[in-house]
Amino acid sequence: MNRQQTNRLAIGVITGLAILVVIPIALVILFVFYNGIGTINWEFITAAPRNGMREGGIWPALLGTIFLTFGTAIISFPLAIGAAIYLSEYAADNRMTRMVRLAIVNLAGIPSIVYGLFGLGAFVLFMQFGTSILAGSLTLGILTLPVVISTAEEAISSVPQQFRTVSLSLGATRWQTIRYQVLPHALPGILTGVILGLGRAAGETAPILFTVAAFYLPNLPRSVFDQTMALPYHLYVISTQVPGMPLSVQYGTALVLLLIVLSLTLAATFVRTSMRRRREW
Amino acid sequence: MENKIDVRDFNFFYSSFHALKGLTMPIRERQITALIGPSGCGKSTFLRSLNRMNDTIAGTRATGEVLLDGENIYAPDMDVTELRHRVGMVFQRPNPFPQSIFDNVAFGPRVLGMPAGKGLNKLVQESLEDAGLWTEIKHRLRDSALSLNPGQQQRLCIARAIAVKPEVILMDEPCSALDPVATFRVEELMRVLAKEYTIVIVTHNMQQAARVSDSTGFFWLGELVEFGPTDQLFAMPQEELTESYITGRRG
Repeated sequence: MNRQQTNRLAIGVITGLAILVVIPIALVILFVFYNGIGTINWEFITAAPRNGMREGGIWPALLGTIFLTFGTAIISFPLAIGAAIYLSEYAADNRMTRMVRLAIVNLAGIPSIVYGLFGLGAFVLFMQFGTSILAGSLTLGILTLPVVISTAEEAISSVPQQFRTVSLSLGATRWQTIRYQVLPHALPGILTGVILGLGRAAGETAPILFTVAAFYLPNLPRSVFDQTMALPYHLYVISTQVPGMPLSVQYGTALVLLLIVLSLTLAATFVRTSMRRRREW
Repeated sequence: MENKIDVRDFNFFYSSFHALKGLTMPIRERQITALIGPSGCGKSTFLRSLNRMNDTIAGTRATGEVLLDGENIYAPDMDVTELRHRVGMVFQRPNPFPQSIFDNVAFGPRVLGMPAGKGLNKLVQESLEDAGLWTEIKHRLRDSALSLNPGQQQRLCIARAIAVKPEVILMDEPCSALDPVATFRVEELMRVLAKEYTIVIVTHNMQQAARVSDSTGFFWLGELVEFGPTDQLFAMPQEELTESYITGRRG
């Protein structure tokens, strides 16, 4: 084999492997879509479950997931932005900073069930929030911190240094420099991170298991101190805990959850590409 | 003639590297002082010491005094943002913010607390007029500053610097990224600005130093080898090193 042939072979193998990566995700989406699309209609989305959840819709679980996603955003956005600004703009390269970074990396590696247990201990029991939307949002908020902080930090660091230098040379304070010449340029990148984090949070089951999720509730939650149903947990329940559950309801629920997570990921990609296109430097 | 800035036995260190060694020199008010010397001789470091922009680099240290109107800018109670408001800076490459022409010039006044309105509009216009840019761009103030050509961008950066009404303007090789025509316009502008402002310019271009400046300092390996009136320094250098550098035999 001469080197041109080797070259073609290498390109072929690498392309093939890249395509292989797409196959599982495409199959999962198509499979769930094919089996679930028939179940989805207006009633399925907007009605409460009936007859031991074997009939009716998923509205309370869907609404719960929306609440939890919002709650997660409210908690993780300010914390992550603060941490990212600190790390990229203020932190000196010392032991303290390295410890914070190490903590973030390790946070990303903790199994989600451990977050659930931590949330149970810290928020539900110690802080006495009970199993509630508040406790669940806090737990999910912490779970999303690593991804949101690292994307936000990257977005902030990628703002050209000269913007800071010029701003300082004009007599702006450090905070004014960050506020007016760094954050506006970094914001789309930060939002991308937040949305990706929310996509992860919306689909997690383990962290909400002990902190907020209810097996079945006849009423919708009225405050952040109430429990709520949530889609991932609901899916788990109807797939394993309810005898005689129609498959179509399971697939319909899975499809709705999948669509939520996918649309968040797509939104993040969209924000990122439109930001790159508008960027002038 | 008044000394706007008096530098006295000034030393500067990047960690353990002794970058500026015992500098003593005056910078006269409403004059152009040029700093020349080979790359790495410390002239840019010195320029950035005059508004403490070097503070943003970790591990730097300064000793000695830099007196601005008699007040040591390295005194512990010096307000660095106030100092930079009084001592402005124009950089080597044109570096407008990726915002509108108006917002670029208005940025300095805004962070100093000037509200939007007639006053700000007037200040922006005056600054652009003083920078010789107004007639070219008065109909496109809302356009992106990055739509200007490099020479216009650099004059915009000068307008942005003078909008905060500094007393001293530091220019770090302001023409090195410009073509000869744009360079000529910026040099012209410097002569006009010197009627109102004290200007310190770092340049690699000895003809430029000779053309525009009143006084010149020659730096070599972190030391000020010679300082004097520009015509004298170029016509009759006192030091052999100066002579060999400006005639192109060393450097």
